[in-house]
Amino acid sequence: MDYEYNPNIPIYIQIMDIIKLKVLSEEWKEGDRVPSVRDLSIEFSVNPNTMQRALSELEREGLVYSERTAGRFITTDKGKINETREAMARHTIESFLKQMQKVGFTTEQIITKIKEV
Amino acid sequence: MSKNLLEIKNLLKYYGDKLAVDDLSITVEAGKIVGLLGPNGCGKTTTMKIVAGLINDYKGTVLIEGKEPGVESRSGISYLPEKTYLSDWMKVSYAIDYFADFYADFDKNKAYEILTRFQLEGNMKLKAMSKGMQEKVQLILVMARAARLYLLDEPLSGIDPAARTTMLDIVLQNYTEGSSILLSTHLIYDVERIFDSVIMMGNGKLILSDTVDNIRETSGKSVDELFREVFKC
Amino acid sequence: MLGKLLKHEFQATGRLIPFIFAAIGGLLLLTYLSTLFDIVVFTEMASMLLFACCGAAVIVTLIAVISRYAKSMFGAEGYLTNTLPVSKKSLVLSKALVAFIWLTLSFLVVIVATIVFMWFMGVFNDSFQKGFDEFLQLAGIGGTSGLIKLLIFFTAMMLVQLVVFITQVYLAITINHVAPFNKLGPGGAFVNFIVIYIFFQLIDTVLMFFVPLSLKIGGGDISLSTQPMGGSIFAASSDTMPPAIGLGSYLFNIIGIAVMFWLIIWMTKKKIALK
Repeated sequence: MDYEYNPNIPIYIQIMDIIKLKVLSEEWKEGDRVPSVRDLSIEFSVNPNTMQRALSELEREGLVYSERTAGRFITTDKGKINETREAMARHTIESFLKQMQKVGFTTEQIITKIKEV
Repeated sequence: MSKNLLEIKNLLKYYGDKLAVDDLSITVEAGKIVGLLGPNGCGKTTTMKIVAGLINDYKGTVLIEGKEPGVESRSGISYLPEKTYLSDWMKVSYAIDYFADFYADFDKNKAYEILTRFQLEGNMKLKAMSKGMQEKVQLILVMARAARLYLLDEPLSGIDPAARTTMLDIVLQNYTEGSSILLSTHLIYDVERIFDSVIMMGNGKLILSDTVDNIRETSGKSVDELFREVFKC
Repeated sequence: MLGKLLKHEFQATGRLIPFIFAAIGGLLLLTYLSTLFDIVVFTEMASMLLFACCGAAVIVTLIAVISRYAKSMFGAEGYLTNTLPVSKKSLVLSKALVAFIWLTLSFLVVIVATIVFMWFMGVFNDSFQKGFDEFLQLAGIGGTSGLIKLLIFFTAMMLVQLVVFITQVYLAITINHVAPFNKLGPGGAFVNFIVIYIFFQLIDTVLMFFVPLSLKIGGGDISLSTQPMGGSIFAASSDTMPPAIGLGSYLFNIIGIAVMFWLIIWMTKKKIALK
């Protein structure tokens, strides 16, 4: 899989976002087993330690949990997933708003524009 | 016993009057993929040759798993030089048998598997292959070994962009927690995603040594950008 | 590991040499057939080709063996050779051994081919036999037992000389890759060899003449004596071979081989910087 990574941001953060999207879009379903660090690092074409860091962070955030011998799994906690959805939405909207403001729109104009498109 | 797979302390190497490596001190831990970056003639290749055991006339300390370069370290190091070191008359299958003979950690099946992935065959003669094909064969020979330390000197330079991804995949697939890869390259942009950390050299000296994440977090730049800045090219 | 090194050395050097040996065999057969059917022109052509091939056999073997050492130790292939998990001692030894075997074989093939050729050209007839016996008497060697002793002595001497030669060549090439000699280029190896060779020749000759240990030929037998060759030269009459051959250089050669080998291994271990 060819992922284009932003060269200025640490890759592990970008991987976290990609995985979050996979979960939110249900490409990776709740309770699904997460592939091994090794396999993922090859699929994402990144350093395995980087992948390990991304997964550890996701564990810390609660989106992923690990079971001692069985491996890593996507959380079944719907609350957690919604939280993630909310956070991503907010983050995306904030970036969008910032960008639109740069282009020269006010908040009302942005809302009108959205309805138009 | 330290975690360091490779330890270099105050390395000095003269070629006549010219100082090729100037008081270099670096370490590589086990389980890391490290980039060795720098412009041509900065001492990267010389350093790798010293670790690989091709140059024994130097000052300073070089320790591979705590031992100085010798017969033992050579069995744990898989070195890919920039040049073609296989003889013209050799067939690919002969080269594979050769490696299998001398390196206990060589996996013949793996070698043939990767060969097929590159659409190459065992009975091809090196004489009849393009430089790019020869470089692929050499990479295969080096990566089909389960070595402790891989030294790859510009493994991507003669390879077309399409094959580069495959080669990086092969490098990543060979990663194990007990082994490390030291990879020198010019093509930083494509490759920096696979590095844990990078070592930058200039004029034989160490310029910087840091993790890729750190560089991106603290400077907001990619390693490639930082490199261009440092070497103003 | 030495076995594997030997195997690969033979594979690397044996791509041309066996064919020349086969050519010699083939030409011998051709010459023999042409003498059977008495086709003189054919015989002459085949004979010339045969001699050419014999010369080629030795020359090609020499070149193959010398260039193999230079290329595989210091050429591009050196990157492969010198990073193998084997000692430099095994590396150099394997190459020297294979070189020795090929060169000995090539000499053997030429000698055997020459004898066989002379045999079916009818050289070994009765008058030859008589003349040969007279020669043996004149030289004071006596019968075949003395001749055999002499042959063994000369063969041993030649084999030692061959090892000396190979070691000298290797040393010359190796020195050429050590600073500061590595600036000289390939001609430098040749110069090194000449210097080493002359050095050995000088000492050999001096030791051969003045060390009081020699092989005495005379009175129908070969034996060891403590007469220096130098002494006998001045006493011998002018129409016979020198009655004694000095052995003093032998020991020097053997020590020389060991010293040169040690130097080669030390240099390849510690002093080489491959380009």
